[in-house]
Amino acid sequence: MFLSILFSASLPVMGHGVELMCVSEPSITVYAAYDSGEPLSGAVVTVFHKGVDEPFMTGICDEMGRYIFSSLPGTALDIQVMKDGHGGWLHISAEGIDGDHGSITSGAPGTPEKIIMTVCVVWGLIGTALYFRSGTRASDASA
Amino acid sequence: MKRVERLSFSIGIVLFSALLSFGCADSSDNSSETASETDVPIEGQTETTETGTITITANGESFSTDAFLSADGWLIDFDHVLVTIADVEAIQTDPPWIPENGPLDIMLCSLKLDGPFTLDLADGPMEFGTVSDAPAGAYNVLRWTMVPGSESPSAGYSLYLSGTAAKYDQQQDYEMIYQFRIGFQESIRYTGGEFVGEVRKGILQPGGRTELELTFHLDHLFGDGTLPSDNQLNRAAPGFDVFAAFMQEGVVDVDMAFLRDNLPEEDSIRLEEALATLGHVGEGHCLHERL
Repeated sequence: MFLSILFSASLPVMGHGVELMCVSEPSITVYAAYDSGEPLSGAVVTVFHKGVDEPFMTGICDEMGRYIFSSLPGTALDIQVMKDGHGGWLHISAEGIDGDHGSITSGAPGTPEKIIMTVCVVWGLIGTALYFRSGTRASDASA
Repeated sequence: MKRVERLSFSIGIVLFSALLSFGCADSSDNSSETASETDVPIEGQTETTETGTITITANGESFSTDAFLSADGWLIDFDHVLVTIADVEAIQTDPPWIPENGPLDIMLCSLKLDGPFTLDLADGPMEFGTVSDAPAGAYNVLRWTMVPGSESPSAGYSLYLSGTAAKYDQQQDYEMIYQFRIGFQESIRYTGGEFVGEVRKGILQPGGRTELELTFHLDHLFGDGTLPSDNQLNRAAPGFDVFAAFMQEGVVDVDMAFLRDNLPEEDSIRLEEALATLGHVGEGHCLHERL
C-alpha cells in the first residue's frame, strides 16, 4: 500500500504591498500501477464526497494509469479504484491529501506484484501565483 | 428436502437476529466489548441519537453457487459451502483504516454480533444479521472470525466444502468425477476496510439503511480457469489436484489436519495462505490473524 503526495500547496502572492490571492479548484491526478511500474490502464475510478454513497464522478484510467479530475478545494473525497476483481481506496481529507491512507492492492495470496496508487493534487492557485509572480518581477525590472 | 432445510435455516437466522448485541463503545483497546454493556459517548465525538438500519450479509460470489473451472482444469460444483463465523463487528473509524495500516487500534464506534452463525454460501448471498437502531455514520471496517462449527457436517470445521469435481483425462479418454468433502479447522480473524465494489456500502444516513458484506473468495483456493494460467491468482491458488491426490473409491474426504501431515510442505503452505486470504470485503482484501 502506498499513497504519496507529489505536490500540494496553497500560496499567497505578495507584490508591492498588495496581497493577491486566487483560489481555484485543484486538479487531482490518480496514478495506478503495479509495483513493476506497469500502468493499471483501464482501472475504474469512482469518486465520492466523504460520507456519501452516490459517486459524483466515475472514469477510467488511461494507458498511463492516470485519471485526472477537478474538485473544489476543501472537499473531502473518497476514491475507489478497481480492476480485475481487485481494488482499494484513497482518501483526501478537507485539508488536503491524507498521506497515511489510501491503497490498492492485489487480493491474491502470495502475489509477487502489488499495485501502487498515488494521488497528485495540483492546485490551480499555483499557476495563478506563478503568473502574478512573473508579472511582479517584470514590474520591478521595468521600475 | 433442500427446501425444508432452507426454511429451517431462515428461521434460525431470524432467531439469531434477535440475539444481536450492538451499539457504540469506546473500543480503542481493541477489546470489542458489546455496546449494550458499555454504551458510553466517545470523547471528542458528538453523541448522536440519529440511527438507521444495518444488514449484514455473507457472499461466496458465483464460485459458491455455480459450477466453475479451477485453475488446474477441474469443473467444481459445490453442494455445500458451510462457513461458521462469530464476533462480527461493524466499525466506524476516522480517518479510514485500511489493512496495510496494520492492526486496527482506534475505533469511533463498534457494533458486535456474537454468533456463531453457520451459513451455507452455496445457497447464495444471505443476510444473517440486522441492527435496526445503529448510530448513523460510515461503517468502514468489518471484522469477523471464522471459527469451527458445532453441527454436522461442519462440526469442528470453520469451512466445510462438499460437492463434485470433474475432469477429462485426455490420455485415458476418461472423465474423472469425484465427490469431495474437505474440512478446515482453522480459526482466522479477518479485518477488512471499506467494501470495495460497484456499489458503495457502509454509509448509514439517519433513518436510512445500509449493508455490510463479508465476502469469501473461493477462487483463492481453487483458482479460476477462465483466467490465464500465469495470472497471479492462479499462480498462488492450490487448485484441486492437491485434494484429488487423496481420492479413494471416487471420494476425496480430507481435512486440513490430514493435509498438513500428508501434503508436500510447499503445497501445505500454499493452502494455508489461500485459506488466510479467503475473507474479503467485496474485492477489498483483509488483514488476517490466525487464532
